[in-house]
Amino acid sequence: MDEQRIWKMCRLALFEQEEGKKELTIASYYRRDYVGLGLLSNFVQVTVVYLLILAAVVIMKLDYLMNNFDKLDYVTIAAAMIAGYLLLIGLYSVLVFTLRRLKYLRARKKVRDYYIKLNELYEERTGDALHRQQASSEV
Amino acid sequence: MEVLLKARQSIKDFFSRYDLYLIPALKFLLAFFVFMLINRNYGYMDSLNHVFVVVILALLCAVLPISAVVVIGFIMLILHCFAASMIIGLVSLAVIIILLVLILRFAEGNALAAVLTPFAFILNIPAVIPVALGILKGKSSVLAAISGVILYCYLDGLPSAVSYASRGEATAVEIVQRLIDRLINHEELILSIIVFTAVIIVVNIIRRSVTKYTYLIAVLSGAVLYLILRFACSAFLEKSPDLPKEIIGTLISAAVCLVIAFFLHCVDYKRTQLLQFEDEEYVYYVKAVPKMTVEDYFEDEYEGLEDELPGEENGQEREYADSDYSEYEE
Repeated sequence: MDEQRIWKMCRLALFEQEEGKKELTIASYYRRDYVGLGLLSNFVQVTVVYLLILAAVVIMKLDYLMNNFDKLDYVTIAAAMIAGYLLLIGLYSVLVFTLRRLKYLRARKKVRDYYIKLNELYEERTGDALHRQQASSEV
Repeated sequence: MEVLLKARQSIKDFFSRYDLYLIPALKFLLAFFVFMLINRNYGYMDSLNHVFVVVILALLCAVLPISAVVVIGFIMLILHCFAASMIIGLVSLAVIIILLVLILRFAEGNALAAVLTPFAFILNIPAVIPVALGILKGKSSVLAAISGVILYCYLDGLPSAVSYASRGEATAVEIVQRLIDRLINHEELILSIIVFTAVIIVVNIIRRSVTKYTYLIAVLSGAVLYLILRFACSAFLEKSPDLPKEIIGTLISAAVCLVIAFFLHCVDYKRTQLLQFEDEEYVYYVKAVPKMTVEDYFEDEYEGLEDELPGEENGQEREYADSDYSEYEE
């Protein structure tokens, strides 16, 4: 048994099964897909939340709205609602885009190191096997 | 000091040796404590408000990741609110969704603080949250603290809204208006958000500086800063703080945080890892034991087995060591 090789295998298994589990999942996506999925889920979440906030505002101002039903400037209200929505979705999209991108790059770097070490191990193993094959053929 | 250091070392050894059992046990205790507090303060659902149910849920949390405490805690809160009144349940659900989407999803791994904050306020030790987050986590934990404060302000208005709803005179709109109004106009909302944010940032900056007693200084300065800011903000907002209550609460919080910091040092070790992998010839089952305890570990676990090692026929057992772990391979 090659102790050095087993030590390397332990280190790689530790990354694969414990420390780098999350990173391996993230790196299994393409960057565009990972960021795009985050933005899509962010769009749905923020839209739902905005509707909830809007409902809360309407309920809070219900008395005023009922009393001034015919005097309200609906165009301005609609414009304010759309502007608020665009602001919220824009802000959170930028945030999600930046964070996801950073997360992906970090995960990718760690996974790249992992694969380099894995490859080294594989090459060592293949080299050993070839060496053994050559030795046996010479004998 | 020597006694303390020895105690710390023995606790550290104990933790690294039995962490496979201790971590689930600690998670169980934490979950039990949180769920009991939820039931005690907002226990509107009779079937959920029972020690037996709490024990089962806490046992479940013991084997699940720590975020399970947050998820189950939120679910319990929502169920209690639905049991009190359908409309209160819906509003609570909406508040928690808004918190999760707008703030908590960016506070990775710190969501537990948001669930614990309301209970820190109820136990009159709110300072424990920002100081503990400052020493344990990074500056991003500010988001969890803000969520916790908002959750506390919402939950604080819950009992009065429930009694208001149970009278049967109020309409659904009035109940919602009352709940939101209590949340927005809660006296703690702005004040606590400002104080918590400042304390977390300052404590975190001090904790990161390399000094001899960094944790002690961080906790004490955090507690002092908390008190000063609290009084300053109260004066600015023209509110009169309860002086003895605030001081005693902050002192207890500082003591709790010192205990946390002490234990943080104690359990600052690498966990025992169980790994499994294979090559062309063998399947390896590896137990990676932290190096500091490895001698004791082998003394106890493999006492009397020396003659049998290494086994050449069916498998081999060997010890390996690197800078962090000693790997025991079978």
